[in-house]
Amino acid sequence: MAIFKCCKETSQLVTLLADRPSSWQDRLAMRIHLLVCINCARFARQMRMIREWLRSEEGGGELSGPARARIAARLNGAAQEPEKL
Amino acid sequence: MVELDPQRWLTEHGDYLFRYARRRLMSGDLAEDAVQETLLAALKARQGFQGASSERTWLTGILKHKLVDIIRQQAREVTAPGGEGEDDPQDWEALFDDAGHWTHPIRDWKTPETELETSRLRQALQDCVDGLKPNLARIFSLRELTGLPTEEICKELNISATNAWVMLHRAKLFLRECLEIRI
Repeated sequence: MAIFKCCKETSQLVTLLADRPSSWQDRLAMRIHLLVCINCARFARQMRMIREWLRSEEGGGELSGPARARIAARLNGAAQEPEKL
Repeated sequence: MVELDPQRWLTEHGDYLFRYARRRLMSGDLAEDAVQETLLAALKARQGFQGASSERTWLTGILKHKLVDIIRQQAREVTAPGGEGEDDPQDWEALFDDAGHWTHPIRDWKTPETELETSRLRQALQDCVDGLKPNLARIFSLRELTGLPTEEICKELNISATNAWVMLHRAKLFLRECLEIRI
């Protein structure tokens, strides 16, 4: 095992931490790299920020008037003919 | 017990469901369809609503299933020969030099503090997620935004785990690059 990872390898360990199984040696090497590399430390922080922002923020916009009317009509139709649901 | 009224769901939760879907799908039209399908399914299943969770949580749960269906269906439609806009590995090589170091310094991002900054960030996030190549958008949406386990995604999209990891990694690199110049 290599205790020193390059930025490229570290970036993969960071982005795939929750997805790809990794050995404790790899995770340790990642942590060491993050302690000494300002770019990768910022990268890891940015990844956390993106995740938090995307989870806390919804997409923009709202249902358009026509879409709302269309859905309301479909729901009405369906409610009156439950067997067709 | 609150009466379960589909029209009231539309009034009270319609915009929320739309925004939730919009973040995870590539078009407003698809998001509208997803809201409609969700409310129809909820109407059908309303006997099953026990009131253990909030109405909104219950509806969002149904919407998540619909989103997976829609993304899966889209994945089938575009795996036609040639595929549209697959991403090019070349794009990612330039981020690192031969020794595996970043070729450009990484900026220190600030958390938005004002209303204006928050709204600019929201727009930038939406633009960048929309800018993902379709194959990356699908997997990113299923994994990061809808929370489906990787194994299930591989089954849904019929790809290997290695392939899934490569695409997830690239999707995140893309979002970062995109946001780096926008915020």
